Amino acid sequence: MALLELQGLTKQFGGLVAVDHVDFDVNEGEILGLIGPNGAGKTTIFNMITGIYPPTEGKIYFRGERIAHPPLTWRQRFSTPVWWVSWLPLPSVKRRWDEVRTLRPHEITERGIARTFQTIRLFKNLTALENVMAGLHHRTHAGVWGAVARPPSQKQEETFIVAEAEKYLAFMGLTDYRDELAKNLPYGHQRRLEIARALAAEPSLLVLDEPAAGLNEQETLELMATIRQIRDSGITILLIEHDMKVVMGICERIVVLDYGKKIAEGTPEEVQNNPRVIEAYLGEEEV
Amino acid sequence: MQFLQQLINGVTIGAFYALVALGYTMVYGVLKLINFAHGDLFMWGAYLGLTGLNVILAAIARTTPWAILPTVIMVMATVALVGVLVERVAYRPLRTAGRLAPVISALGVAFILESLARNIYGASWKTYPAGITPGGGLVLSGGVRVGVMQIIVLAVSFLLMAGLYLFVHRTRIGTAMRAVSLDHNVSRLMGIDVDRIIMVVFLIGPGLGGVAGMIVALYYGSFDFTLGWVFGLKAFIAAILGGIGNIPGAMVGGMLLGIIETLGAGYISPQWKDVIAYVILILILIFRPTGLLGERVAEKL
Amino acid sequence: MMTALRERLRTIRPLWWQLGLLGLALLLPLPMGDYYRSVLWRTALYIILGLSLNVIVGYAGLFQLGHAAFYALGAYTTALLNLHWGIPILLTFPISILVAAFFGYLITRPILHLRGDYLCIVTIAFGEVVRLALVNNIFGITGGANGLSGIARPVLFGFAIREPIYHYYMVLLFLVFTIFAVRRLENSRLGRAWMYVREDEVAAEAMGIDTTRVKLLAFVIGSGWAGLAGSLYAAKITVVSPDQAKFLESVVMFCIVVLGGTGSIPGVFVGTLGMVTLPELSRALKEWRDAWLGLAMVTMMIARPEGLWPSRRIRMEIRAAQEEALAAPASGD
Repeated sequence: MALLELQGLTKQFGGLVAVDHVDFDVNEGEILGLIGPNGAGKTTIFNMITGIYPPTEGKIYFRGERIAHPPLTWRQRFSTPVWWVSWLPLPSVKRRWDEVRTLRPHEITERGIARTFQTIRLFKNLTALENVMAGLHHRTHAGVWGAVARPPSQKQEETFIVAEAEKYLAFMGLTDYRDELAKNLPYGHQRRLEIARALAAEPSLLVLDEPAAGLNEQETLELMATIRQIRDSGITILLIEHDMKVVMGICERIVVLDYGKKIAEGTPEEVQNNPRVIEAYLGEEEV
Repeated sequence: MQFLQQLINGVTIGAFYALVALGYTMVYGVLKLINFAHGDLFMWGAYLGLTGLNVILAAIARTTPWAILPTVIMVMATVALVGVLVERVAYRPLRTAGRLAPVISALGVAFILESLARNIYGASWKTYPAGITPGGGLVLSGGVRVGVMQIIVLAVSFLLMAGLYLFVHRTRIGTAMRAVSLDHNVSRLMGIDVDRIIMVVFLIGPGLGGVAGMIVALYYGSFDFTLGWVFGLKAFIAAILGGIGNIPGAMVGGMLLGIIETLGAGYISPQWKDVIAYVILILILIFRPTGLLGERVAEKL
Repeated sequence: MMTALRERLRTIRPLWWQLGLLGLALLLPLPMGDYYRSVLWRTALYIILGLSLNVIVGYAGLFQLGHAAFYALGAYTTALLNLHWGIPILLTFPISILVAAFFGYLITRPILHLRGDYLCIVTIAFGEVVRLALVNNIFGITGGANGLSGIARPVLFGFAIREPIYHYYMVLLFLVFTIFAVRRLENSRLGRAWMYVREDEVAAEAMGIDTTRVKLLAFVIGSGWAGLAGSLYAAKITVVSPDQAKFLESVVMFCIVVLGGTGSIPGVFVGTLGMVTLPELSRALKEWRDAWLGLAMVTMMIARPEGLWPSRRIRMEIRAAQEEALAAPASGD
């Protein structure tokens, strides 16, 4: 069973079919690249994986659990028994209902998928440390009582959060910028910070949307090394990238999209030599 | 038959709501701002109409409906100018200030206008000069009464609305207005003076609102300073109901709200009349924020 | 000038500040007559209300213009429990918090997904519905437009709290606790979650934060606390009326938070002084109260939208948003 399975994934926006019956798997421990010309539907697929919107058709399975499927129609809701009792706070009801309803993004993150965004979406007016601490939210529990009464467990948790966040900052080489506002960081560091924040959520699958965009030569090489390091620490990586150096350099397998359809899948060598791919895309790129 | 009577009354009130709702919807269309002050401009129309009528009637020492026409024109012009003033002073500096600041500013203007009215005119009920409006009316089959005033009011309202519709869809300025409501920057690139168009919108919207205020006061005969708040909110709900930013929507929404409200007051209870309007607003915003005729406006995050 | 003053003030250790203010607060009513003591009481009460709304507007960033409804609900809860079942006033306090919080949950659950200015309108509508329900004597218990009267005095160890000065001290006690609780909330996992949601809701959700729950918590906490303030009001005035849920009240509270300084505790103090205390002290202002409110709103938005004493963070956010908007000129959207 693959870590992530996309089956017949389709997304339609009005009359536009952005993703058209795409199938592929992401195996545990690999680095998979998703490439294709602009508008091919790559970020749309990411958004469906991370739960930002549901597919029009098709399904996504993560560790065998179905995390994305088309939303229920009203008729389907009425005819599904569990919908009628979904408001009951019983674990068995909850489990059955989870299988049927559309999951929200934070629930997908809780299940072990974390992402970065194509346009960086850091918390701009917060410090680097505070940004990374966000990833630790779902790993901790303190609520209103903990906040006001501050029992020892809450204090321990706070220390833990800060320590973990600093660990991830260090891993991405950003310790010096700990108390710097995110918006004041140089562009390359902002990209790294976003990755650090995603890592803090302790995902088993890290989904990176154009992590090398805007990086210079040096930064790109560092990024490639970092991604390999992340993978070696046990996290599977799925990434969208336009920079072919990165794609061919670190991806073990590649999936190619064009106009929403998958047109090729395989190792870098296979994909490089695939005439359909060349025609759609690689012809203009320097490799 | 009581139903028909209620229907006619509802349509009359609906026409009032529609006139005022047009002001809200036009301003929202070009500025994406909810002009909370609009209801108070409407109220000022009623007060200014009173003053105007009293002055004219005193001057000519007779009571005649003919005094109404010049007063209406005066009221329309004055309220329109106030509207433009408000836009210049309280809204224009905040065009780039996000969504919250203009709303607060609009509320502030509303409070200022209301306070001015209350302090200048006093908090008591004001009545329009008696005998200035034609009484009587038709009696249709089944005992349904349609007052002459109702007919006049409905006719005037429909004329104004039709006029506005033609203006927006058949004239150059109207087309420019529609362009500005879609995109300021592109309109500028097309050579449209956006500030000028916005000024026109604030002339027409408040102008119509002011006239509506005077018409409502004439119709009911008396009013006080809470007129602006209650009526304004209802008209606003009508605009949202029809789809804010959408001119036919405001008309439809106004009519619909007037009818639903009057029927509700008649068949359920007059006390809960206002609540009906609010509940409609809440339901619409939760389930269909685009309104009945509108395009997507209130998107989910 | 404000900034320079603030920077100087910041260098003084906070503990001295707090003790100093507390001492001042304790001593202030002593030389005063009952009228001014009531003004003090009112000020402290509205600071509590401002702080409760600050959680919703300042921390979670949600525009709530119907806050007075929960204030009224809390007051009515105390009134009803006391008048119908003879429950001692002080015991009604936790119940009215729960009632107000419960209604806060009910009312906001369906509207959380709405965009800013639309959320604003719905809260106004809900506030009015509550007020009208109270006026129309819903379920026959709310006493109509005149409200309910004859509420008993709170009794603590046999001592009935009757005079304004003792009510003031009681409210002061709750105020101190409120400030304490609010600051702790600010610097906690929940407080941070609110910050993240305010900064970028989509990113926050992607990082595993249940944004709906977090926003709901802000509403429930803020609303429940407003209910407490309502009970405190009922305890002193012994009369509750639907006017407590008037839109004007909600606007005053909202202005206290936004004009005083969004997101900051000193800001709420400043806002209350301007919006509540000043009009109480000046007869002229009282008559033109609405105009004063309106003028303050318009000028503040134009001159200083972040308020007089905003939290540093909010000030940054607002200035940053302004710069962005100026760089990319506003479209008609």
